[in-house]
Amino acid sequence: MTVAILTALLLIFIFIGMPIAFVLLIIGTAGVWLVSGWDALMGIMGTTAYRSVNGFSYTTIPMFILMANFISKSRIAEDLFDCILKWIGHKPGGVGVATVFSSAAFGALSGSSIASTSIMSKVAVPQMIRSKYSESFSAGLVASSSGTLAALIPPSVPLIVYAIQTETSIGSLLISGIIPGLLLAFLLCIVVVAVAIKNGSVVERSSWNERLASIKHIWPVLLLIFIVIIAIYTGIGTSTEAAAFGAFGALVIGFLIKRLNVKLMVEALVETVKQTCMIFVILVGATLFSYFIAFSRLGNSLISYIESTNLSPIGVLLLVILMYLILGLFLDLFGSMLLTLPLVFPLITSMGYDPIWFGIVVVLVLEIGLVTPPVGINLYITSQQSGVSIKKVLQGSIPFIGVLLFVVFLLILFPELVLYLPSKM
Amino acid sequence: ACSGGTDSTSGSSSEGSGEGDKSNDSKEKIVLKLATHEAPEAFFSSTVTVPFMERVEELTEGQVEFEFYPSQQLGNVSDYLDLTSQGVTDIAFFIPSYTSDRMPYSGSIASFPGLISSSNHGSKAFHELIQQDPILEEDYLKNGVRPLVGYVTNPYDLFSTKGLVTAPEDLKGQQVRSSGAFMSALIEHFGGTPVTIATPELYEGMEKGIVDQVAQYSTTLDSFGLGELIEYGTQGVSFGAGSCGFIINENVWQSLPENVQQAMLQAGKEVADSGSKADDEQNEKILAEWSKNMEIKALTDSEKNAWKEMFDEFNSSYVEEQKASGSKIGEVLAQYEELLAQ
Amino acid sequence: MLRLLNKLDQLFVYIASFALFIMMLLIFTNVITRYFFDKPIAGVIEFTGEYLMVFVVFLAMSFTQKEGGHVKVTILERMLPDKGKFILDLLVKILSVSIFLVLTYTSFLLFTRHLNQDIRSISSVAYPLAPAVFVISLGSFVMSLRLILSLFISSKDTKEQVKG
Ligand code: NA
Ligand code: NA
Repeated sequence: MTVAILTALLLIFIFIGMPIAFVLLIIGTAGVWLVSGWDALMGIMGTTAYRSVNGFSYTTIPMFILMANFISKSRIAEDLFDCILKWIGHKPGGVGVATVFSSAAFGALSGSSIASTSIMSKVAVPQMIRSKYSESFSAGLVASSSGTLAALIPPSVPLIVYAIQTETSIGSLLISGIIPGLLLAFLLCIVVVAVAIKNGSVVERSSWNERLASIKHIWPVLLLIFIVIIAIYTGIGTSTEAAAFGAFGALVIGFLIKRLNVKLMVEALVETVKQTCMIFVILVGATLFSYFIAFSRLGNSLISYIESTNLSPIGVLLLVILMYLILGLFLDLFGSMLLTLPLVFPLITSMGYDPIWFGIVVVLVLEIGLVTPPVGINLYITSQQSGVSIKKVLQGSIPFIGVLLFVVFLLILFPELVLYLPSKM
Repeated sequence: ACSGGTDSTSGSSSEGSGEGDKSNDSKEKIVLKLATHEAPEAFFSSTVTVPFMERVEELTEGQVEFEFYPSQQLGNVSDYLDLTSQGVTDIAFFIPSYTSDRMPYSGSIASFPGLISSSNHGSKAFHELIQQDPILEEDYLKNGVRPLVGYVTNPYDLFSTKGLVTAPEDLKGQQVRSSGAFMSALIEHFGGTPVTIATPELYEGMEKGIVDQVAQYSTTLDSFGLGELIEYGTQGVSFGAGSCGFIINENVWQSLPENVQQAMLQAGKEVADSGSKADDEQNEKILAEWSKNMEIKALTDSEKNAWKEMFDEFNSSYVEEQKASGSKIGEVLAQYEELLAQ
Repeated sequence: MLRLLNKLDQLFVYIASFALFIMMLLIFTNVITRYFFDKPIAGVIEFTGEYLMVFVVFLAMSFTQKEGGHVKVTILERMLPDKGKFILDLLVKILSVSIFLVLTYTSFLLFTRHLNQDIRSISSVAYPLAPAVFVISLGSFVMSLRLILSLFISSKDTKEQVKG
């Protein structure tokens, strides 16, 4: 009974748009209190807050966000896009392809889906519109795919949060996002080229001098990608340490090319503190909430209920994906993930699905939630940064949501797309 | 109802309430929460945790029932001491070295190198040791908990992707993975550099060669998938060991009828023995498997003695150092060695 | 009062930013000294989690709340009548205040326990942990203050359009 009432309250709170961190804290606290008593609550609250932040591997989250913020402030993405545009922009669909390529390349530097969307909206959308793509198509492409590419291609903050919450290997998860990320980029290219041929969009061909000159501007990007790869894949440090390496590298390069100064550095630090704080307050709430789930035995009941319905594993998986699409309407990615994983993760693994594979699928599905109203952060960011109306961004996103769902479908059909690289580690 | 947490004795687990039934032949059903970080299918769960619960249920003829919270459902293993003493759970798995600030002896005593020859050898002595003062009072009762099972892992050997270590001098200049202050002091004693690497990153640390040597035993390394990386290993160094076990909230303990207390003590002693035996067998099995494609060197007696000499030197200097700060580690070590000799 | 709180938050967020900066430098330096000089810095792994993460997260809570980081307005809320919105807002705030007051209290208890028992880091540099736990309590307290103050200020102040 208690559990039923609290679950109803939980859904109401989410539905009316209460911040997810507070929902989790309130329901978790009330739940533990009602199910296990005041003393248990006091005991749990005492340890939960400290435990939820105290861990060396948790530092990956602020470090990768910091790196993304240093890069944003250094305006490196602009140079990257400009260079790719000069080389391939004149080809059919060249601007669109350049947008996809830059998103993927920038995704290899940035672990934050928000940072990527924000930058690509500012840089790439106006160029695409100029080359005869429609406003809604251009903004839709960036809103739905730039962030998703950043979340799949390592480094990725969403994947790290998943890894920490489910105790899966951070290294394996990061690696396993590469192929799905590249696959998505490839499919997006097909779509943008097809649409470009239909619209007859072209850009003037740049001279070879301009092309070569543009390369000079992107050496910092190449250097940074190189530093991170060196740090991650050679014996210098662990992937946790590589995050700090990347942040430090981005800072130094920013200062070297005179794009960063102390003021911008402090801005990036404050911005990172804010984003980190947001994620970890949700994490504290989620930890508390998972105690409630454990004490209420909700997970066990759910698993045995589903077993009793004789639903096939694929049926369960499709239900779970549907649930995430619905949750994605109302919650952001971290909220949906941290709210549901204590229940969904044991269920899915008990059905025999691979934890790493599921992580990629969850992040991909939840990225879709970032462009669906009423709560869709990438929708608002793209609209704000590119000046295209929210309605048009949403319209333009719909075909690309189709592409994302198609990738999910491919990953279900061919799990090796996710699992091949980690198995080679 | 899907909730079962508030009935019976679980209710009495709140601090200082002591409302439990004290009459000795009470046959009232008792439900106890037991928390562990491992999955129910994990090796330790299947050799110690689950057998312990089953044995208690059997010995009390079903009077005691367990509500099992595996896989960290009730939080992180480092918090189990707090969560038990505060009554969030009644019984929990614990690793004393994770809370060495409040359990000064239970963790470090197992870390002393060169003392034990097998998990069973160590576990039987350690299980007795922690039921006696001063360790019982200092590490457990002071924290509001009581030990039910004491367990020591296999003695650690040195594993590497880079090279074999057979003599104490070989450690000089090597980066050795450390898991805490005691281990760091030990590594430095041999002229090595202690490198702290969090356990989830152990695989990466070895794969990338961030550490040269890891002091561990095969079952743990195998569970992290390190079997595919390691190329060299020793057998018989006894570079310390790890300790763990189960604790129960002291108020809950006091509220239990005597027959239940007896059943728990008996079950605890039995699984400490049988579980550690299984651990030793498992260790042999894995090493046999490993030696097919890696170099596993069983130390000769004279090689072992060379280590033993250095260990004794370290142990006595460590005890001497600690004495200055009022530590009873010397007394505890003497007790432990006596129990080990039995 | 609000101005004082804003000043305090500004100070706290700079301390948190400084902790973040130190975190980056420490981890980076540790890798360098370990890789090139065989001399890792003792305690870095533990210290970043035990202290720096605590500073980054808990000192910045109130500031993040002020900047709208925890708050999102949805179309659904826009559809509600003003009175409904007001009641809802009040309910959410009262519940949130209670939670953060409980968190302040429990982490303060944890702090006194760390102080009395002199609980220290398990790293080889055995520094005390009580100050870090105190920061959790302090951050939660300031967060409670901010939420209490917002009870008395028109709800329009806490609304925040989602922005990048
Ligand atoms: Na990325
Ligand atoms: Na949404």
